[in-house]
Amino acid sequence: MIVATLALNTFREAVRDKILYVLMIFGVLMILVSRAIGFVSIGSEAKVMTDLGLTSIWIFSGMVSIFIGTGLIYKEIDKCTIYTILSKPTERWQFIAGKYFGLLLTTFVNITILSAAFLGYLWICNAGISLALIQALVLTFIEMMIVTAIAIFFSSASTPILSAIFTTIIFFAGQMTKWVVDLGSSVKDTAPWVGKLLYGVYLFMPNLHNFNVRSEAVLATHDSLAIAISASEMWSCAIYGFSYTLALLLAAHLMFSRRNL
Amino acid sequence: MFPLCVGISDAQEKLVFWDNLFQLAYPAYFAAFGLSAVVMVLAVLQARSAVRRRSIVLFHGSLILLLMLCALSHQTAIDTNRGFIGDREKRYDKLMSELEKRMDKEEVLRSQYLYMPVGDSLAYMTLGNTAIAADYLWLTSTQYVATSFHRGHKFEMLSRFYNAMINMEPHWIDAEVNAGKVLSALEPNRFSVEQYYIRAIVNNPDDWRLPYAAGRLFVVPPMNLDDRPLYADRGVGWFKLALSRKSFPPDMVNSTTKLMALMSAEAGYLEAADAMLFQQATDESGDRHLREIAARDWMNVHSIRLAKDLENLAAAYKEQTGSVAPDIATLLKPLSPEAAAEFKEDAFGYPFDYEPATGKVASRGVKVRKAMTVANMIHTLIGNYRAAHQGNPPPTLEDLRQFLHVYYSGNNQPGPAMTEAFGNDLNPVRSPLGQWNYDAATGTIVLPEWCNATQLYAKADAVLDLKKTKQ
Repeated sequence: MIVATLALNTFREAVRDKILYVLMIFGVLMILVSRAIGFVSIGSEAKVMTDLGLTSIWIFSGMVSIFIGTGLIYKEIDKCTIYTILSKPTERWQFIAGKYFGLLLTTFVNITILSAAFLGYLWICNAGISLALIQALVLTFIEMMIVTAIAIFFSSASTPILSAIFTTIIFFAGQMTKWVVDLGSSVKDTAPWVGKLLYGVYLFMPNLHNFNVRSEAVLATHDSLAIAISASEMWSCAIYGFSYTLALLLAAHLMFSRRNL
Repeated sequence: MFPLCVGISDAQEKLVFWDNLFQLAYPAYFAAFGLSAVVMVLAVLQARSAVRRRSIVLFHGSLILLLMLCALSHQTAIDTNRGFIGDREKRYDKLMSELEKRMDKEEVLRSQYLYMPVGDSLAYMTLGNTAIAADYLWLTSTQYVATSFHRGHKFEMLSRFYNAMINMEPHWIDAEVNAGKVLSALEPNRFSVEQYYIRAIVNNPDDWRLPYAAGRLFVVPPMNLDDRPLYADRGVGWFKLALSRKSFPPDMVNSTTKLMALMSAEAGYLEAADAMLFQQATDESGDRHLREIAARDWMNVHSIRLAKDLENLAAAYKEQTGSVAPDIATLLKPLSPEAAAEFKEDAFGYPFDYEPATGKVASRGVKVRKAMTVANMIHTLIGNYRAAHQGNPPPTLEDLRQFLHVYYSGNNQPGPAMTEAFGNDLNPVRSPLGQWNYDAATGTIVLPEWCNATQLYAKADAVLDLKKTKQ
């Protein structure tokens, strides 16, 4: 109950934040502009629209999670409002969980609005809508779960600017973790242990590219029943996302619980 | 501790050592899993004791480790199923082939089109920075060419790109020349690529590189030998245009002239080819080796030209008398002794072969030159045949012909050199000399004694001094 109250308040607070609207308006604009960019391509208008739409939803949801999430806890400490919360019978883990779910709710609403605009626009423009697109959107949301958890993790221990920088770096680096393995492959003859070590590092890094099935989804728009990845892969991705999120939240709680407030 | 590796290098030994070591990853994984579970239980049991703070840390730490191990196992499952992010191309190709089974192939190919902006819209989008737009187009197309990710109508797509690039930056000649090369590699139809060059040349009329590149398009002989004169004609035209440009580099004049001469001969402009090659061979300021090569080519072209002239005489004789001349001597009778002396033998020093039934004339030297080239190619093919037949040569050349047809079927198509040597029907049985003397025991073509390079080019040195002699 406490977590739900905190989450709802966090959501209200986020909704009052102008940056959410700015990002959302930009996201919707990008989706609408995709048609204009589609015009200048030949024979692939729908593909351009779908590509740009999915990418816009991904990038603007990520920005919402980062820019709102990284300031959440710090703001409470800075304005000393945290003392009024923690002086009540509220555990620190409840505070972290409340903040996280509040932010997640904000991200969910953001993705839902952008997705509705995107799918509606595709429908109006007679572009194909497939199950694969829904898959891509669901996976984007799971990816945002991790990004939000990363933002909360850094926010519980650092200033908003540093948190935003770290989270943004991880957000983009998480799409390119394969390079870590490639780096190891390039030195496998001279230093085989480096390759193995880097593979280990790769496994522990947040592999956000797991949730990127956008190009597959765009291709699958030809067939309304086509899916981007199988159900078992979806489950693997979902379990990966939940496990990683929970681990990050626990780490955030651990750091926050050791903070002298 | 690990198996001893005998007879392998240090690097391999190191690799095996680390491989063996990392085989412990699975036991380590389960050990870590078990350990974190035990620690978590202990932390819960100690939660009410005096060391509560430490137990909270232990609980969190072990739970985080457990969750990470859970995520890790799913990460390996995802990697196994879908491959790494870098393997996306493979997944893409797999998806494409699955889609192709269910849908119209053409539509699937169209879905892979790159975004192909047209020039004007790009100019607006870049707020007038058309050079930047051209850069973008060039870089994007280069990436596109370099990857196999997008398949389909590459030529069609890229030519749109490159035409847009010309609109954006009409004077970016380097990129235009390179773009033409890319297009020529994608499209066997030279005339389609030529259209692109024409657009670029119209925008840069004073530059030599574009007409030169357009000429080079036609240097490689066509797959269909019947198109050869047309190709050569086009090539000569472009080279002539390139040479007429003031900026044409002087050090390239010789090689371009030689190309033009050879192509002129192919196009049927024998007189022009004869004159150009003769000029090159006898130019004392030129490089000695290049002059020798030019001399050999001149001997070939000059012999063909003489044979053609003799054929014309035969045709004129037939028109006058109503019958075909019985021999070459009859044809030469009306000529002055000096003029007749020129037709005594071809430029190689061989006599002309005359067919009294048809009035056809051929230079034997030209035949010998061709026979030597074709015999070499047959020997290469026999090598291929041996590789496919436990080292045995073909019993007859007919067997080789059949092998050749099987060898060059499906996607494996013969190159221009092959069709030039054996004709469009790829027939190695046919010989420029009439018939091959094939030794089935050794798998070799035995050429007549007079059919050798030494005798063929014996007069080449003399050609170099012909101008002096004539003077």
